[in-house]
This record gives sequence, structure tokens and C-alpha cells, in this order.
Amino acid sequence: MDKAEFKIEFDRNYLPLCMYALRILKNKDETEDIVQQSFVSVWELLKTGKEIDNIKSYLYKSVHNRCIDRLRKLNTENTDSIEEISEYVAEDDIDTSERDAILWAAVENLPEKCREVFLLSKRDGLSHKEISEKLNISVKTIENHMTKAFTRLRDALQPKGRKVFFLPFL
Amino acid sequence: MKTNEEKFEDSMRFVVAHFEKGVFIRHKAWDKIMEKNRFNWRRMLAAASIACAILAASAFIYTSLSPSLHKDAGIIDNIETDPSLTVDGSVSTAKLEFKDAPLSDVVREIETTYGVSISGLPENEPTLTLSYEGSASELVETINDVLNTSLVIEDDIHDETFKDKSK
Repeated sequence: MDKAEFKIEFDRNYLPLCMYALRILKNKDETEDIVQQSFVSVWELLKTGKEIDNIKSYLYKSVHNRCIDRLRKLNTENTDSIEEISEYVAEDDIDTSERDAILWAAVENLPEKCREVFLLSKRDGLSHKEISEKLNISVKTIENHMTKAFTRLRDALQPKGRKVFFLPFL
Repeated sequence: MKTNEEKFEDSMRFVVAHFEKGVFIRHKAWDKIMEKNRFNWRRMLAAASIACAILAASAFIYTSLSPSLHKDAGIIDNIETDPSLTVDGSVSTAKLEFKDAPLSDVVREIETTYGVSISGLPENEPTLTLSYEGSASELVETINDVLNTSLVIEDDIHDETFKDKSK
């Protein structure tokens, strides 16, 4: 596998792997570090001429193991969190990470004000009235922002290529 | 089994709880990964250079401090320990070591070291292995005993006994 092919795999799997690790570690810095280390080690392996049949599975397994090691090193008080983590990577967890990545990218791509309203509502739990007062915009505008945000997030999860045709009423 | 709506809600809750703009940027991560890869290569090269330098220095120190070995057959060492110098500067006692040394070489070494003249070298060329510390006359006597030779010190100003013999 050459560098260009590896880049394709990287582009495809980087954010989902970050979401996967973030669910385990709940720390963005540790997550970034571990995912990058995993890609570095895979690339070094590929450069030696070794072939990896399923790079995606290999990467998930690598990230998974590094997360477990990191949790043990951090000596977390909540040892239950380590025990709850499966020793293998489940297909459902991969699907979840991919869905998380799509939504993360969709939130990243929201218009700035729209994103701000959305996060104030869903993350911080503010009511539309509270957001309206905080940002000094009308409640109607808040509702429009929220509608736009949800529409974009749901559209992002729709399978690509699906088109909706509107037939004019004759 | 979660419905699609439940899955959507779960992912949305997770994303909004952790979302931070500017985090997990792909192109930045790619640059870092390639940079780490280059860095590792440089680090290995630096480590190899340091290792070579240490090896070279060790080899230099070893060859400088190790005792030089005589390539000539026979004479291993000729160390003068507490030489007793006479008025004319010749040595009365010395320490000599011979290993499989031809007798002619031994005689030459004794003559040079002690400032004496030795005769009676046999035609055959026996070899001598001996470590000795003492006077020339005692050394010659020892050699004669060991090799059954008849070496004679023609002139030894330090040995009164020998002078008597020469007379």
C-alpha cells in the first residue's frame, strides 16, 4: 500500500476512530494522541512491506487496545469503566463511531450562529427564551436555527445518492 | 435493539456533550502523523551516529592504552626495575624476559643491557625461555645451567667473582 492509498484509509477512518476512542477515554487530547499513534504504527508497518488484510479492523483494534492501556496507566478510580469495556471491538461500536463522526462533521459545518444556538440548547440545556435573551435575537430566529440544525444533522445521516423528487401539483 | 431514532438521539447527545470546534481536524492530524514518522527516522539516524562515535572513541582509547607487543620473536619485555647504575652508567642488575628467544639474541640483549661482552656462543642456536632479574654474571650462569652452554662474560666490571674466573 502506497502513501496515497494510506491517505484514503486515513481520511475515511480518522474521525470515526476519534469518536470511538472518545467514547472510551472521554478526553479529547488523549484521544487525538492515541489515534495518531495508531496511524503512525500502521504506516511504519506498511513501509516495511507487511500487508494488512483489513486496515479498518486493524486500526480499530489498535485504538481499542491503546485506550485500554491508557486507562490502566491513568489509574482511573472508576475501575468499573475498564471492566465494562469489551476486550474486542464490536461491529455495533464501529457503526456507532461512524454515526458519531458524521454528526460531529455536520455540527462542525453548521453556520456559526446556528451552531451556537444548537449547542446552547442541546448541550447547555437552555430554553429558547433563555437563548433569545442571551444572544439578543428573537425566539422565532432561535426556532429557525434549531430547525436548520436538525435538518442538516438528519440529512447528513441519510445514505448518499438518495434524492427526493417533488412533482408539481398538476 | 435500538431504533434508528434512538441511535440518532444517542449519537447526538454524545456529540453535543463533547463537541469542540477545531478539534480532530484531519489535515492537521495527517501532517502530525507524517511529521512523527519523519522525526522517528531522524531520531534513529541521530542514535546511530552517536553509537558510531562512541564505538570509535572506545576503539581509539583501547588501542592507545593497550600495551604494545613486540613482534620480534623471543624478547617479550625488558623492564629495568631499580637498576643499579655504576659510575660509568652501565646497569648492574636488570629484569629480562625471554620466550623462545634464539641464544644469539639473548646474548646481544644482555650485552646491550648490562654493558658487557660475552663469548662462547655455541654454533647450534638453542632457544631460551626465561624470566630473570639480577646481574649479568648470574644471568649467564643461569643460562649455562639451563642450556648446558659455556657462555663467558669477557668483561664485567660489577662482578668481582667473574673477574677472578676470567683470570
